[in-house]
Amino acid sequence: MRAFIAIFLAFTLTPALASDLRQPVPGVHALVDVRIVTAPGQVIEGGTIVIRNGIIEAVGANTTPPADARIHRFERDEGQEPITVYPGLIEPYLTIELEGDDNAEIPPGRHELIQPDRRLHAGHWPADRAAELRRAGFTTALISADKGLLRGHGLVANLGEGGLSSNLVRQQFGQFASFEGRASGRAFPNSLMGAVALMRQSFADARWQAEARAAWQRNPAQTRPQWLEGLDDLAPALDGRTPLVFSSQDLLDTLRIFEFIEAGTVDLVLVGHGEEYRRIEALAARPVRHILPLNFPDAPDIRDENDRNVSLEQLRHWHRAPDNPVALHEAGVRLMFTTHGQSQPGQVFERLAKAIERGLDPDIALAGLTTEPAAWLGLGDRAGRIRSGAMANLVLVEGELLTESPSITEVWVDGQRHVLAALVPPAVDPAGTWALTLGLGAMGDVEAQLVLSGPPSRMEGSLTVMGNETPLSEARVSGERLIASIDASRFGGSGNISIRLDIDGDRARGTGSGPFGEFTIRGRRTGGPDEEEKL
Amino acid sequence: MRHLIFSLSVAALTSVAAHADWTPDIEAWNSPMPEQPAAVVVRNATIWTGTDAGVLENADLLVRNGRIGAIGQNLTVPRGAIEIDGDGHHITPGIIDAHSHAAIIGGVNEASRISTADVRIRDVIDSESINIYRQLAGGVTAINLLHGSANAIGGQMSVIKMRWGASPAELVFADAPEGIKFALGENPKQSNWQAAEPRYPQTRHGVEQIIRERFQQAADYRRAHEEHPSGRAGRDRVPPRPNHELAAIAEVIHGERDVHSHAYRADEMLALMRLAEQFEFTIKTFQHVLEGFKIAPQMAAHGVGGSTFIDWWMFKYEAIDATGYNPALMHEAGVLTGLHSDNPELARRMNLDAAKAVRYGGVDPHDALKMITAWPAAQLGIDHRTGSLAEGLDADFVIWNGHPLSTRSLVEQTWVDGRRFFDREADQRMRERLEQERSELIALALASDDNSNGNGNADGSDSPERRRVVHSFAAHLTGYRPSELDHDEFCIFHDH
Repeated sequence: MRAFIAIFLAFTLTPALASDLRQPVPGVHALVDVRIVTAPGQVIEGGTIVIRNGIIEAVGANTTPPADARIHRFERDEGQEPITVYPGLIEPYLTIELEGDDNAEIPPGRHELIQPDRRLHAGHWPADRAAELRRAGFTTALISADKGLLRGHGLVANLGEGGLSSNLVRQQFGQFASFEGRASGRAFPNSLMGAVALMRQSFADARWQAEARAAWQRNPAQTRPQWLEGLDDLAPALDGRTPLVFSSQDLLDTLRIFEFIEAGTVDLVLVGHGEEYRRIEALAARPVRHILPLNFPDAPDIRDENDRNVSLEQLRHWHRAPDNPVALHEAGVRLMFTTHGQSQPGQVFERLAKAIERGLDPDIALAGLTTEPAAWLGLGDRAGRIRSGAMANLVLVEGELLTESPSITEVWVDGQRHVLAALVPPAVDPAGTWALTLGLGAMGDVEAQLVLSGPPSRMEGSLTVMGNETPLSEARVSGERLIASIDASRFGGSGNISIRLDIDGDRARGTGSGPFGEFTIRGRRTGGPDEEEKL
Repeated sequence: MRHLIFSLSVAALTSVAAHADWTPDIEAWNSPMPEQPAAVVVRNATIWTGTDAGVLENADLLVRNGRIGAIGQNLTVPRGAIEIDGDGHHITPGIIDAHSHAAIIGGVNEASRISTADVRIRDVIDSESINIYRQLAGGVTAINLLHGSANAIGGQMSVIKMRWGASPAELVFADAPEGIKFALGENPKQSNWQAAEPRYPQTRHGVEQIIRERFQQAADYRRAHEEHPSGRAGRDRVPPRPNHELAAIAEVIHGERDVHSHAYRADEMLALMRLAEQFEFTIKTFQHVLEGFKIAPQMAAHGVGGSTFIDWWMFKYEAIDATGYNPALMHEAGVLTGLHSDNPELARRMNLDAAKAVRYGGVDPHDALKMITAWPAAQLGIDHRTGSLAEGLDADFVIWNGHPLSTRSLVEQTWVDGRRFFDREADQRMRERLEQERSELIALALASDDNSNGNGNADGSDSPERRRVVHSFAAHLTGYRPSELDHDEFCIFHDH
């Protein structure tokens, strides 16, 4: 047991090995006889998707799975909804809460709120939010910082396991801005109008810097212009080479931003607020692309007739808010949807269902989660639709995705399968005793024994490693996969060690991961359930 | 006075807290712009022109396409003109409030630096503020939105017309000259609030010095920019760095931006006038100017206007030496005199402040009315468009049901640009419609299944800004959104 711990610890201390292990397990998969929504409004009934090493190799109604593919077939009973495969969803506004640099010394010539040169790094990886989003069907996100007036560059990453290094898709996309920031204490700015003034001065300074530096390069025999650190990074947004993604707090803020960023060179994209319907004519006059939150309020609690503490304004907004997406669409605004501000990313479906009820075209709704953000991010050839050559980012749903509460059964990221729920009926029964080999990379292999009993949908069992038997905290079968977890505290870590084993008769192959790192698993069944007693 | 309000509000907080979250039923965004009829005539009214024409009895006012077409008796009007019976009614120019913070969002003071000339009220006009509608009901048709008084040189002001329902850009009085707030005395020198790190300056003479220093820097700034060759010749020359603060101050000393300076004491007003004279420009107005009566001849000689309270004082040390005769005394000395509100609630009863100028100092009633109409319009440089009733001016006028300086009179209608933005009768009818709208929405909400989780939204972040439920020191101010009250130590109970 101690040796086992030592081996796991050794991984984490050996970065090169750890990164080796984070490579996706190579795989060729074929999802056969599924309903495929390749893009909004484009459906293949009973089609096949072939995935090879994280990329969609082929998709179509008459595609034949290659001989080396693992076949995924989803048996459906009479009356059950077909499994439908959608392109992985894209979250265009995943923000990172930056911490820890509040007390950092601000060097002369800089302002704490003006950080257009900020770049996110691997240490910022939002593992928890990524996992939450993935469970809601999101496979890709544009990630940015949420602090200050000029907030820096964003980056695009897939939402797989393993951090930024295995998920980065595109660096330095967009410049992020907001009028929300205030300086600490009595420093400038401590009002909204001050924030606007600082932003205006920063834009002017950035333009000046480009001009002044160029003039000095041409003619060095003059006083060298002051260098304003960071503002060079604003140039791409000022020139329209990358979008300026401006987070708007409310309707007045939107109008303010429209005045601040005149129509023209800057490629302005607004993160909306949900009140756009109120002065929709202003949006129609300038229909810039929107990243729209679906923050519809719940109905106010008015059941107690004698205590109806609700204003007409609140009632009106409750009633009108779900009209906002369709109003914007009809005003000519191209929409992307964000889960930003929602406690659960999955709420996006309930809200979209309501917007569709109010007249939003379902294809527009789906496009706002797939093709629209993909095209905007410059990833139209590899994300947002199911096509050969694209990243194997998929969402599998029982029935339709855009319903109030869709049953998402699996999410695939870069060809890595994440089974979400036992909604897929068990297709195998792994009860019995398994001899497993845990592949710890260069550290060699470790033998283990897995004992399983009970019905496949709710199994019990234990894992024995080097003579130490540990009960499984969870074990169930979904389709042909066994999903099990072990409390990692038994090995001195925190959280769970999770095991995913694809069962093929008496053979099993899969992966495990936990606080110590990742490992591969392979093995075979050495005894059936009947023989369990003998052990 | 302010302390009295404060005490009352503390009492109110304990007694009427349940009503403190009362929110207006009307909202700007869904209030349609009233139409602008081609012709409107008000017949047989008493018309206070605000001009040398004086007060006309049994006169008609003709409005054509938003402008005043004619004033006189038995006017011939175009066919189809809307006729309003003015019998027994008085018509005055719309009230102009030269000192307001009533429709500003996200802070009235940028209280950080000693000079914030780069900050613009224009960026934070709150078109959704209920103050606009409420003040229309008091006959106000244009207000000057000023930055607070935390800085010697404050932010750039913005004059708006009270076009309830319009967007911020549409509210702006396009023809108004540019202006800026200055402040002298206790506020810029931080007398009444503690700062962990005191800011320079901390004395009145320091305030004068910092303004002088900025003027000189601004002059240098303007010169550097003017000397930078334009076009091809300047291509290889490093241009001077832009500085929006100094650019705005340079406009001040070149007479391109009017100074409206908060001030109470005579000595520091004299100092600022002398400083301006050294830089060869004129201060446009002193705001509050409680000791104006002491230096009225000097003010008249300089050409500065006085924009004052009629009876608000004693709220701090520099506001003690004051008198209700101040407006009368300044006016008699030839100072362009006006009365301002500096408070969104007082702004709805400006006619009564004008009436007090008749009581204290015996100002002619028509002149007293000019103190809230024609003269503040002149102080703001908008008198060529509004503030009085004469052919060709904007049709900004008020129909009163009695003498406008009487406590018993009410505004019946307020017109801006020849559009009827307030009509007491229509307001009453609207209340019925709103009650019906409320019933319908309540019925819908009761029928809906999305309140299953009980009380409103699970995510606080999901709801748009709610109006304030209870605000510790401003509970008597109802219907304000939090960011309207989210000001600073100068607001609500302090003067700006």
